[in-house]
Amino acid sequence: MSEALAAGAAIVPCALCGHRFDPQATNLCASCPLGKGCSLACCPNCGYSAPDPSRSIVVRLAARAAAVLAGRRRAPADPAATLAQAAPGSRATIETLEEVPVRQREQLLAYGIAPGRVVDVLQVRPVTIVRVEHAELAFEATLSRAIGIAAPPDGGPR
Amino acid sequence: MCRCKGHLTFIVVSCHVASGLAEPLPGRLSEIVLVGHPNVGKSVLFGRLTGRYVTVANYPGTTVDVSRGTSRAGAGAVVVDTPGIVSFPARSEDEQVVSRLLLDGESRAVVQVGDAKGVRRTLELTVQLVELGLPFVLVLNMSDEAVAAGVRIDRERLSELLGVPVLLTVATAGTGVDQIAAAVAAAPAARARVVYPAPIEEALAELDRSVGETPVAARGVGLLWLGGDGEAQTYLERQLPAHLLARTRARAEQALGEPAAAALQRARSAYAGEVVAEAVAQERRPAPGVLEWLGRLSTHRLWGWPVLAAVLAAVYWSVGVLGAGRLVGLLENSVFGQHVNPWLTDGVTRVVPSTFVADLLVGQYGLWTMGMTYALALILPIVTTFFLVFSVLEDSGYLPRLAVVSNRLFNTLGLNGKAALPMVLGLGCVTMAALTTRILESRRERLLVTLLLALGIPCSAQLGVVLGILGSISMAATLIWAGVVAAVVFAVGWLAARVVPGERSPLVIELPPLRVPRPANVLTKTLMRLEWYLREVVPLFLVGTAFLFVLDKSGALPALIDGMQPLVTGWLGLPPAASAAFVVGFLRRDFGAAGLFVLHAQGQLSAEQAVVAMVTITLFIPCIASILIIVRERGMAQAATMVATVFPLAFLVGGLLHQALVAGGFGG
Repeated sequence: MSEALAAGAAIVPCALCGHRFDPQATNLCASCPLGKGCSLACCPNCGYSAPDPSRSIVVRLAARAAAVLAGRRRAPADPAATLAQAAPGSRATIETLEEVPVRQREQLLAYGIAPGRVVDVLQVRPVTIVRVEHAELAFEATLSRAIGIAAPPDGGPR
Repeated sequence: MCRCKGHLTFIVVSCHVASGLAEPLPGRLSEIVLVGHPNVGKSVLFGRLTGRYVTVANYPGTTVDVSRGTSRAGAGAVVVDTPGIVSFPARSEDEQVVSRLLLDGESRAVVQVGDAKGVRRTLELTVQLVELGLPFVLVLNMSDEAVAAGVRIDRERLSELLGVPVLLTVATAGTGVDQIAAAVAAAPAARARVVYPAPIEEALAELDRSVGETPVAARGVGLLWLGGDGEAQTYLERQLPAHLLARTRARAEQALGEPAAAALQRARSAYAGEVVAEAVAQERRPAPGVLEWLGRLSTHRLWGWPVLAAVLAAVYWSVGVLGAGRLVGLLENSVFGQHVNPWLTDGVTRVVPSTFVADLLVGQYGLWTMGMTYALALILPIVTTFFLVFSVLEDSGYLPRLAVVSNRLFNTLGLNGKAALPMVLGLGCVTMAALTTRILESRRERLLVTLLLALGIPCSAQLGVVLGILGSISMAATLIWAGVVAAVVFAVGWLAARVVPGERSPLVIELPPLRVPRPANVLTKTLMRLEWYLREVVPLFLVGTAFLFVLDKSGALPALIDGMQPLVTGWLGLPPAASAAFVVGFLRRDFGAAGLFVLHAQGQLSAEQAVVAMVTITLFIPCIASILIIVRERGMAQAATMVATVFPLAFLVGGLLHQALVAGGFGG
């Protein structure tokens, strides 16, 4: 079940028998007297139960912590990445704003977030903050997820 | 040929030719307009040029309307301060003010104020302003910060490349400001230097053939229009048939294969990049200092909240403890209560033979003993401490960071974190904050924030009174008041966001550097706001007191109190005397709160009654002035709807709270 915990995937393999199943789709819980509020998912093949990240607050938090830790060790963003994936402290070259809604695209362009420009990523949560020239601009993740970036030749953490 | 109005008709230059400098303009300029990005020091410069102070602060959106003043150096020329504009086309209402001003046909020169640390971004706006063909000067302000940040500007080379005078200034210190008037006097009409892709040039040529006299260079109007500016669109629609405009745009965009705005932006950006490459050098960036580190901390997803808590604690201590507690106690009890009022009452009673006039001056509802005492002894110390703390916050650059931290919170209200700016300003004065809603992007957001301001954001005077009363009862009383008001604001906001049509716009906000506030500016701003307070509040307090006096003398006040008894005593569970406070609360809610403060000080309000009274009066419409501003900004229908919603809701919530507190045994 650790695979599911890390990735939060819909289809998970049972840790005991290897049977792959969707914890959300199993109908075992409906017939279980302890089903209500239970955070375990039972394998429909062998009945082995393991934590279901989508039902457990603790497991969800653990998954989030694991993702954060993984993010800290993450290499510089790959060429197909978005600004939301850039690590704080890294430098990124803006590649495209095609996916950004027109109104916000105009705003970002006016602030200098334009294809080819290099920005310093200062923060990504709760909102993305980048530095262009000496100006700092904050915007939401909905926008940073729509901004395509490429790592510059001298990219990576400053 | 440029077919501009006024003195600009003397200029025989091709606005389309991209070279050379024109001759200095003959004639006299009527206005010098300061234009530029938000938060680059336009208002400070305006103060330096005119000697007139307008509110300046370290966050974008401080100026939401134009201010005019006579230049000290320019032989009577009028200097105009404008709201910051990110770029054309104008997006928010404050930006449209700039667009409208430039296209209104008056003869004027443009002084663009830019941040010397961000020359490339500044130049992208320069290109657009230069295209208007007006006399133009570029002022790169905050040049000291640019030097500290390792930015080296070759001013002469920059001027040569742009074909316009370029000055380096530090407006806060006055450095370089004295050169501006001379530069404007000798400024030539600027000429566009960017040549756009052929389809755009063809569209401009077609417009040039069709359009008549234009307030600025026809090329500039055409480019604004192609870029999507609403004001330029309106202007051209008055001159040309809509189908011609639509055909011209469609032809250009078809040939370009993209919106004209995108092609324009790319060409301008490339031009600005080339100019910067030749005239600006970036040396090694200095290591981050303490302020930069604090700035990071204040927007951090975890540490941002303790920083906010520390800021709120500082505000509470300054306004609630120092202002509403110690200073009010000193002024009300000692200065006014033991010295001024007894002395004045005694003097007036002896000098004035008429009991009626003496009562009007120093009686129970006397102009001095009630109106002036409330204004000077109760409210003035509170607003003084608040304005002082608020000015420090404004100048530090913390407020935009608050927008970042609170973005998720406002998301639930169908808004973004930018709404935090007018809401926080509302703690100073809701009337001013209602104007600041102009910085928000959509009509829907402006309406929602105005509603929340009118409903539940207490202004500093009232906040101080509330904290003064409830702080003396218990922390639980303060928390109940804050919790109920916040719950009502959020419930109404949540509901309104779902009722008012339209979509939420995502947060995009520039974060200015954190700075140590300049004491001189903080003091000037505080004094200016206090002057405004005394001018606006004192007359209203006197009118309210006189109204109560007349009601009392005519015997109508007891009747009114009797009439309000089912509501005030029956539903809210308050003593009958509280009715008078609610009557004047319709005029200004802090006046009403001050009346309740006095009742509490006289022991006429229990703990439970104090909480209910404070919640009810907090949910009142702030004051008559704010209603007038809301009518002006949002229209009569929306203002009337707000008033009709807010007052009944205030009494409804107050009554329900009374029932809940009694049932819960609070204060018993």
